[in-house]
Amino acid sequence: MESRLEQAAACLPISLRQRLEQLGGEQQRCEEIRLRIGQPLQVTLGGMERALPGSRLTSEEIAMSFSCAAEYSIHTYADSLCQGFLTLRGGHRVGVCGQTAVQQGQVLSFRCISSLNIRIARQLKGTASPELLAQLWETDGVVSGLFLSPPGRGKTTLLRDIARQLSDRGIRTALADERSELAALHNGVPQFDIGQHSDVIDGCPKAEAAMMLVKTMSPRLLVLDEITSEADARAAEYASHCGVAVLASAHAWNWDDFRQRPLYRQLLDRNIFSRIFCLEADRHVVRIKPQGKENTEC
Amino acid sequence: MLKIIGIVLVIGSFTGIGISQRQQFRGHVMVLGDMLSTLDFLSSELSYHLTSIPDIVAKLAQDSRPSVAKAFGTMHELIQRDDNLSLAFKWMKAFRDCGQEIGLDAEDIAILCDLSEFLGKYDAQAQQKSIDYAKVRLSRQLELASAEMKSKGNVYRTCCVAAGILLVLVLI
Repeated sequence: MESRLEQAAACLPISLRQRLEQLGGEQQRCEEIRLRIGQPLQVTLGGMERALPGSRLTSEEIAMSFSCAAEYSIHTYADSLCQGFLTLRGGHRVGVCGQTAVQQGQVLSFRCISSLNIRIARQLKGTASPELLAQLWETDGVVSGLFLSPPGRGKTTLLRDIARQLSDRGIRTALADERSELAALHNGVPQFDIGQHSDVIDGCPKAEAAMMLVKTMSPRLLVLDEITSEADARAAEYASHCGVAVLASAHAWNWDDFRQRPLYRQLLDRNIFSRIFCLEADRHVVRIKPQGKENTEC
Repeated sequence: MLKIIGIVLVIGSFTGIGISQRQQFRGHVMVLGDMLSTLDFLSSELSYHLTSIPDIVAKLAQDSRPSVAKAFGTMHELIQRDDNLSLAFKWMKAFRDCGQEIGLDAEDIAILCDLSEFLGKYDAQAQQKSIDYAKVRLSRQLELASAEMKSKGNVYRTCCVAAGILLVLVLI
């Protein structure tokens, strides 16, 4: 089986892994593995779900896959599970759905799991084109950039590749890897190539990790995947005030969608990012320019 | 000359039997102490680092104490196997398979196996409570084993030496 798919599927029972082998040459294109109770095992190829032949999944198979994904250690993943996901070794994210146990408005745990979505993380070196890197560069060094796209278009892959390339050029880079997807540390060793001059804080809330990195590692570039809260925005602002360039991503369908969201409007008002890019459906990166100027493809 | 050698051999071998019996009691006390300190380690890793159970087991498999390395080395091997079996099953199997070999008795093994019902299934605090309970039960076992070592251990040693001397007297 293709190595990344094999790593991501390692948490599945043997019988389900055997079904994935039916994908043959398409294994490398596999983006997600989806498990739903009472449905056949499904995979996502090119954005479309496809059911694999075989019996319908039972609750035991889903529970077994979940336990194995969580390394039989719910306590290790308790925080991320409260947000509905956990990250496998290798940076593959597992989305979790089912019946939750809630206390005082806070999710405590999942009582029963009804579906899992394993997103296969792949490193695509060279995703960041020389033109894009040139856009992030000014005479006095790297400038801050924000990447917008809906989920699944490769924001994390792109950020990782930019970080890798800039780090290999000697830029001291710091990664606040809250979801263990950018570097995917395992026993302290990054599972992805993130460059020679990169430091990572893994599994820590982005805002706290960003503060720690800026204060202790004196980076020239800080990478934050997915700004989702006011605290993240404040951390980006703090880093930027300290003279650190910030590369970040945010969920938005396009520029107009981005501007409509209150959190992101505040982000724009703070003038942290001097470059804003949009990832198009065909994975092209387009730089958004101020009104009156034409957007450029990178 | 032959008589003296025979006397020494008989008394020596009986004393050896007595001492080895005492050593068994001593070994039981030591292995219970090892398991208690292992539970302390487990508890600290769970509460401070939130380390996953397979990672804790892997660390304990490298322990310098033979009893801990044996039990958790076996468990580590079982966990590495790709066989769809649960961690709870592998935890119990490891202690059932090599518990007696490392010097635990049936009651100690049962206490350690009971832990598998909680480990990795709940938050760190809940697991901590189950570990604390197992520690209380194992401490009680340790007290009994220490008392047994003091009373029966000395009796075995003395009786064996006396039996050796008696046999020598009878033979002479």
